[in-house]
Amino acid sequence: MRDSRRGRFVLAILLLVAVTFVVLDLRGGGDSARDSGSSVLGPVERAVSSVTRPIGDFFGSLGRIRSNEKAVAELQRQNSELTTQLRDVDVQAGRAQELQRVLKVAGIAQYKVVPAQVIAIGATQGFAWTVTIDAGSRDGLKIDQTVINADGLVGRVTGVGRSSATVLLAIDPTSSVGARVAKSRQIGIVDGGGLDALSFQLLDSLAPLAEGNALLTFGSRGARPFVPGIPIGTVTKVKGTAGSLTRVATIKPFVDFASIDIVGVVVATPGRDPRDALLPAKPTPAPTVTVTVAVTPTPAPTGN
Amino acid sequence: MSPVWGRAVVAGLWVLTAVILQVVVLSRLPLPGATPDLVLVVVAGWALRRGSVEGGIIGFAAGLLVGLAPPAVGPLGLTAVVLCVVGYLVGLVADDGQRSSLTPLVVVAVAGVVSVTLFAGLAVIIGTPPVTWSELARQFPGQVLYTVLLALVVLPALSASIRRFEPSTSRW
Repeated sequence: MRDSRRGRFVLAILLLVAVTFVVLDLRGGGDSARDSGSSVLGPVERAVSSVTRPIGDFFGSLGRIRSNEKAVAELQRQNSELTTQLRDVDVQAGRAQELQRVLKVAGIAQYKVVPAQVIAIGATQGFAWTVTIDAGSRDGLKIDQTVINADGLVGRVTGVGRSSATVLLAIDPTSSVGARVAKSRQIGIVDGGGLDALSFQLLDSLAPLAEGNALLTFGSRGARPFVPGIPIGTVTKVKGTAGSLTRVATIKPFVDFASIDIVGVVVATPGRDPRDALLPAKPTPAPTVTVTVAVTPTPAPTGN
Repeated sequence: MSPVWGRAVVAGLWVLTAVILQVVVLSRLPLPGATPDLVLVVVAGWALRRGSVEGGIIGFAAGLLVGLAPPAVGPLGLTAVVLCVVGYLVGLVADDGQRSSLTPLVVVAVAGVVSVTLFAGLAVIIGTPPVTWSELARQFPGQVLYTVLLALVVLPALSASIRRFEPSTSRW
């Protein structure tokens, strides 16, 4: 029981200081502290990440060995399924046309993208979904820019250091994204829900919405924080019938948030300052986005 | 170097290393359930060895650093409150003296659960970051398991690194 009085005193002081920080930060005063933390610790994280990445990759592949057996069985099943699917090419052709339209929307875009790598993932994982990427203000990043990857929407930039930036993932519970249904052009809001899934709420509760529909970002004013036309995910379940007060759909995101690695930050949209960011020459508009759309047919055919 | 300053330097190195490894390495591991909380283990380990006062101080410092290291977003200082309390409480156990060889592991495991609960409770009170109960429930088993596993490695290393800087009166 030694020290108990002194201990309690020290504890009280420290807690007081910490609570003061919390209050100050809630009132918006913590940003500068976090920015300086970012410029000091960001480079350290970068350096450590470059050393530990190969090790992490090794362990990651160890984890995958066991799932390989499963993958073989899964592939065999898919193979026979695909053989049958080949027979109804007509249906597929129709879908392809629909996808082509979606693709065109993304294709016209030609966004300028700065590529970046994820170097750290938030310590309070499970409650807040954020990652640090290894591009910052010196690469032209600003707050509220859209972050995408090969599969679709990843999130938006919420903090920028010199050589690193913080990205709030679309699955974070505080994230909400204006979205548009690819087929019906209806709009609504996509909210994050942790790793479980995204949820989508239609603004017009009478609008048609079916499983398998693809969602794209609607785009914000001035293309920040979200540029239009980035694929978000597909509808997997619709709760509530047409006309009911709230119609919420469960969305399966195109992006696998558990294993994001290379991402791209949209630093400029076409029709504005055509700065030559890192994308290869002209006719490769947001190259990866096209891939996404090609993937979509896999989910089982709807109804007919 | 005087023992106090020596300990301060060693503690600083441990905390910095733990925070960096936490966000760069441990958060990336493809583990089910929770993320192993190295920072917590270091704080609890230090408190076990050095008592409530140093436990509270190192918890506070570590929590502040967690709040500053990108990509942290939640209110700065929230983790500091949590780890400061946890460090102090763990230290109280150590202050009491009598212990078996299993005590540290049990204490660290309990500390893991307490820290997650405390964090979630405070987050609910101030309303950010948003906490869901399903998420919280999912964290517990993994949290306990990973914390104990980490402790098996970290605690001996921690003890070895402090030993030089402890006044001879403290233990044996």
